[in-house]
Amino acid sequence: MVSPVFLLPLIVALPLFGALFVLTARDTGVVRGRNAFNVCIFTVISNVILLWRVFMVLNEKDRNLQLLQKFDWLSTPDINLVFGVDTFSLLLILALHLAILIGLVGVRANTERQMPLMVFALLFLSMSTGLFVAADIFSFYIFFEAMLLPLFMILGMFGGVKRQGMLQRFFLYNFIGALLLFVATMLIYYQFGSISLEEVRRTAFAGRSGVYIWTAVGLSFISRIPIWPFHYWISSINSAIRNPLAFIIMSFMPLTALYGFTRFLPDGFWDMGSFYIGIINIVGVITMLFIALIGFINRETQYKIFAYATVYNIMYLLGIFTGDDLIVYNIGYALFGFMIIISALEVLSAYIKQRELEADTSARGFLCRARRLSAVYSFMIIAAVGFPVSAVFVNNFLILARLLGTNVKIGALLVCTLVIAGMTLLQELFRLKADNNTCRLGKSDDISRSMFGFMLFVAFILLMSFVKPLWFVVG
Amino acid sequence: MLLQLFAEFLAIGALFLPVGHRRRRAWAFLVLLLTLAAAVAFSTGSGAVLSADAEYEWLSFQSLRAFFYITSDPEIVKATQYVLAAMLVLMLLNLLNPREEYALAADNIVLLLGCAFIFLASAQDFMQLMTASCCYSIFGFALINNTDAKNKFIFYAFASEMAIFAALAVVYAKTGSIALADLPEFARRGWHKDLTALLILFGVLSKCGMFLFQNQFMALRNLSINRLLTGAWLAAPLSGLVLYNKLHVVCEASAYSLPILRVLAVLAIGWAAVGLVRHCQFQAKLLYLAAMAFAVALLWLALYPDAIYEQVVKWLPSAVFLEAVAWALWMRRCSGIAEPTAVEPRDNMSAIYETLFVEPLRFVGRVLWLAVDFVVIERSLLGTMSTLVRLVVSGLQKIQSASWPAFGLLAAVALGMLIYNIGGFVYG
Repeated sequence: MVSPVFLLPLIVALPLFGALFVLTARDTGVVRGRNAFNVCIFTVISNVILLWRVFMVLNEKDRNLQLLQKFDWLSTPDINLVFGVDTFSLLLILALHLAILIGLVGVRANTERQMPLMVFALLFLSMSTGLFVAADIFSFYIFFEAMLLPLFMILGMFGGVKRQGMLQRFFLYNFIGALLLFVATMLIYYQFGSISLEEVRRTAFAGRSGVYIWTAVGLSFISRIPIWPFHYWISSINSAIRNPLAFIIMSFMPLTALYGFTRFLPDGFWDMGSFYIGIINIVGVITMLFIALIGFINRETQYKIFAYATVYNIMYLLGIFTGDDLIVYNIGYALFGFMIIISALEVLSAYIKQRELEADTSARGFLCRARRLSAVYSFMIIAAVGFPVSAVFVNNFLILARLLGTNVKIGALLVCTLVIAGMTLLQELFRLKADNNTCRLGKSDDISRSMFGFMLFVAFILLMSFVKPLWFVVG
Repeated sequence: MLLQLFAEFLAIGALFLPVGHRRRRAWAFLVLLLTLAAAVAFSTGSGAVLSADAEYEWLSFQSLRAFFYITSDPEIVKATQYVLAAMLVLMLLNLLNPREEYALAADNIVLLLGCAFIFLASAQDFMQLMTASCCYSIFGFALINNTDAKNKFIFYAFASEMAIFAALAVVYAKTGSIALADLPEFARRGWHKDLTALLILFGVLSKCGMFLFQNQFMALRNLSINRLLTGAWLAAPLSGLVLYNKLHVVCEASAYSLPILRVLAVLAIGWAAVGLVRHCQFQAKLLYLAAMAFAVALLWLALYPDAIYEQVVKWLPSAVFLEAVAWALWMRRCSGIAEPTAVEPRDNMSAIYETLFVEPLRFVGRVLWLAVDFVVIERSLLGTMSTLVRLVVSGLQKIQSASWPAFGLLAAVALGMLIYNIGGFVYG
């Protein structure tokens, strides 16, 4: 068995090695991407097993970063790669892996640009895992920016006809965000040296430099969350991507920012920054309502899923800004369920869209005939709207209670938004279930038994995350 | 005892889960026999292994602890016996109705509804209460096999769950406790009493299919008789009754909620009576009767605060049995050839909700999308930035071009900077 000390670098490096293997895989002739796909699946599953091992050696009750490991890089300036995890970050890594696994199942039949997609998916996996295990400001910054490269490439490949404009927006917003975070990192470094993320939280940055640092950090993170006025670039990207795996990967952008906030926000911020928190609450809730309403009228399923994801991402942001340890801790559990739900929904929707295109017909009424698809799709929608079949349920209750307790008007608006976002998904479900004799899609277009089995497994994971989030940790 | 019954229901359901499509009716008969055996054992108290209260620690955070709890309260045990009797009648109906294609699946849903009742009735905290209430919605969703009815049911169920969810979130925010035992304290303090009371009332009325919320309830008329009776008597309306009984303290704190409840219950009785007389479809008549019964039960609970739902569920098996017998007699009169096809009356309530809520939401969404996303952000902000970048780039290109004016301009700028710096150096 691998020593626990090397587990963290190994889970960062393994997808990187996987990407190298994929690059060398034969991709022509009859195989047409199968080799690349198989290597990719194997790599992700291997990493999931390693992650399970990390969970086993982790003390889940300890909120500090554990399994710390330092790799010397530069002596002047003193910059190193430092890794460490806690339950929160490990859950996000596991969610990332499971989401990508679901996405891979969704693209298993694709032959178009399979190999580059697998390579960049694994690169993204490696960089994002690096981000979640980063334990000091420089490691965080490096991985926070490095993950943009595979995203940029994936967007270039699967961005659809409007990809040029999207790439420009992607570059513009992320470049400004990167610049701001770089400035903040430098300011922190020159004041305190290369400090760990835990120390950043405990450090009180007083005076003008403190304002500069937190403004830069806040703007760089918030530009990745679809909150007004940053929502447009992310929405235009997410609604245009025509590949489920690419969509799932892009959906992790806001999550990295949410994670950044949980790591960087100083402990005393909730007392000092109550004015800013008030503004973010108002802007956040208005954006949620705005996006939920647009999702409600939009006919594109992908936009509806994006609208739902945005509403929840902003709700988690508001949850993080409550400063309540219980809520922040629960957001880890909720994000785990949330990402799996989004991924499964996207994969199933892409499957339906594909059948629609192939048969040149509307999918309205398709689920009446496809029983297996109907069962798993209905389950995912029920989980998504917040019924108690995943970890999302408890967290919604906690965040809602906190916001209703602080400001009943904002809380009430949040409830309305959640209702509209839920109705949007239910509306889509019943479009697919509606009686329609003209729909040419039938029983033979249903998902395969293996796909159904896999989706049942995903449903099982979600259900278990509701009963006991860390059910897979023995002892 | 209830824990044992709960476990037996789950075990019977799980045992027949892998059974294939063949001989479904024979399997359904076996499920009925096993449930009957469990019911007899439960009623006589024989073979009781698990008779004490059961508690499973679900959430164990420092500031929040939640339990899954199964009670052994004699009142609830008694009420469960009536529910169990109703379940048996419905399972028999599942078996006997020739139009029921999936009798085994219908039996399993009845068993799950039985579990949900035990779970809801045993609830001691909000988490279990909300989970059990949502279970009713999920099982109801699985029970209804008509798309239109399913559609209406889930929208109402979702709205009612969210209302109860929000109301209990307010209570938790203010008291810091999720225990149902702390509700009187919340009511005494009077925090947001009208908001929480009205939210709970909305949830309960919607679940019970009372007046203004009858749309989803009446949509059940398109189901086969066994599913119709299960949906009407054993599913969401029953959960609404139990929920009201558990949360009535909050409702009573508001001066508006009880009058509203009484008025709506009376209106529901009147509406059901008129429907019963005027509607020509037999399934609809059965539903009107069920709606009337639940309205009377709610009115009774609203009039007598000390009343408990355990007293109300007494008539559940008789009601289910009588309706099933009435149906059988009516079918016999109609030669029993086939269930009559439903004549769809005009759906005025749907039209009202569509006009009042859905259309305005669509309109606002459209305006926001076109006005803010396209005009403000895409055209104005991004368009302006793009034009600015183009202007700056073309200006820089012109400055760097090999022409005398460009050279003159750059030379002037350089001279200016030189003078400025020399000036700064000389004058400090």
